[in-house]
Amino acid sequence: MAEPILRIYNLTKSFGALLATDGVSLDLKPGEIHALIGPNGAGKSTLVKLIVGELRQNSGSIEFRGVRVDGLGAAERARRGLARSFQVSSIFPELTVFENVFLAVQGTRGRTYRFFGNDISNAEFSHLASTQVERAKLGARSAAVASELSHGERRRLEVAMALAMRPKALLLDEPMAGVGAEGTRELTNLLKEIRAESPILLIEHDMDAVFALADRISVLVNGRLVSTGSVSEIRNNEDVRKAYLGYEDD
Amino acid sequence: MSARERGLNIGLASLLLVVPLAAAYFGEPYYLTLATRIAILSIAAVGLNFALGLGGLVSFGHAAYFGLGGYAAGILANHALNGQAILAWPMEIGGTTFMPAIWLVAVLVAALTAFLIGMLSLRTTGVYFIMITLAFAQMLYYFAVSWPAYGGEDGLPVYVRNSFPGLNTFDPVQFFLISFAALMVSLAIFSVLRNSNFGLALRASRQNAGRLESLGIEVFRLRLTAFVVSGAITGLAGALYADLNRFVSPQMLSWHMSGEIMVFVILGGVGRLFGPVAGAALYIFLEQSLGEVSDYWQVFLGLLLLCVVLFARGGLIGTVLDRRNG
Repeated sequence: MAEPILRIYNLTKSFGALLATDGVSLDLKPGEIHALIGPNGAGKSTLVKLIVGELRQNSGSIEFRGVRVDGLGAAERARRGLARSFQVSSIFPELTVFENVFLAVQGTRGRTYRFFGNDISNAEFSHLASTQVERAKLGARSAAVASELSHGERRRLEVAMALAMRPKALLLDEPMAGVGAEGTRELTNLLKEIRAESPILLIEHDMDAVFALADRISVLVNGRLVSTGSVSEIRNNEDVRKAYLGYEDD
Repeated sequence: MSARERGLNIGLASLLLVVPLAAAYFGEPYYLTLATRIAILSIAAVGLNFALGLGGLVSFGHAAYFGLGGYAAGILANHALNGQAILAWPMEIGGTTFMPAIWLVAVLVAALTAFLIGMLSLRTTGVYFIMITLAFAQMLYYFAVSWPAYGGEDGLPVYVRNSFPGLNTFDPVQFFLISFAALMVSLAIFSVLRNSNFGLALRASRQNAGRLESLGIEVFRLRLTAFVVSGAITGLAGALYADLNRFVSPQMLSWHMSGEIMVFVILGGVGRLFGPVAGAALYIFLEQSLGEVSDYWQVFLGLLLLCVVLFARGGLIGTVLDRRNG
């Protein structure tokens, strides 16, 4: 089996007395979509923040492409190919859609300290950005100021920004949140396309999307990983059903 | 920038150039001095506009760089005139009255100080950042007041205006033209930087700093760089201001000065290329016209500022452009 791109080992993070991440170990292999599910407050977002470097762990290790990255800052991890999208759309509201995506290209290529002139006229860079804009079906909105986008368009812009980083691993924090059935379908198709380029750690509440996309599913409850397995294993796991899926109430 | 804004900018620049020259021609040289002051204070505000307008860094201590630029000019000129070395060891450094050299020193001193102050203050944001930048500027102010070598509280006169090769700087027209050219250069730098990769990232950092980190751009380093550039431009203004008044005093370092520079930016339009020019011009205009009516003219300034903040967030430039749009 291929070496994992991302390997998290025994990761722990506490806020005061609250143990938000409790000895979590998981990995992400090339080409796979690994879904992370769990009830609200299970510590999913904390785990994402630890992986990308927005929070620092108390103990444990994070290995990315064979190198320990748990001591590095968030920007450095991003430049190494660790991309994320945000649960609540996090964009630059006064910049255009294209500029939002272009910043991702500029940032990961380390081109920010160019003081005279810009790379928007650089064919390779602008092609990279506009490809992702098109792909996220925002081509017609490329010159629009991001604050004018609809909720669904913002969700897609989030994903386009992450993809423009040419990620080696992609962490998507609830990309389907609030986009409706049509939006979910579009995003599901987009993610299917992406998996060949970059493995995805997918945090998602929409179970239909998770079951349609995921190769493996990990279940997080109260900061602990209670189970990891294939879609059918998780579907049929008694503990998971009790803790999270709540099928017994149906 | 829209074509409309570009037109407005060209109009403002032309007015600032033509009106005082015409006034001087018709025997009203006083307006030349006023216009020179506007140009120099505009440069100081262009510096702040870079940090505040593009980067959202509300520095309430830009008088520090303005005053340091002023003292750099004053101290260099004084040493050149009395022949004493500034530094005897490890190498002898004397003064100079050569403007380009003075500007270089002023810019470097301001940039270095902005780097040190930025290193510490940029670890905070919001109100704390405002307070820390203010505190550092006040430290320098009290240092200047209590250090007798360069005049202390009384300030430091510069008996002869510094020289520029090929020009007679004592001629008000020529000194005005030097100041005007310096303003145009600093505006050009602002404009080029705003449109660069760096400028895009800086504008983005004001809107959503956390997101920028996740795209691989360290916000602290970005802000520190912007802060240094900002301080350096304001430092240049300080050196010119010392030459204009032929006098440097701790007043240039005081928090009043920081406030004034910020008022220029806000009155004119935060983040607008010509905002600082419009703001400084309006301020000087009010000072002159209302100052005649009452010594307490700043009451009216306060009211105007309140109106701008409440009803015209785009400042003078933004309001004019909106009006013409509608």
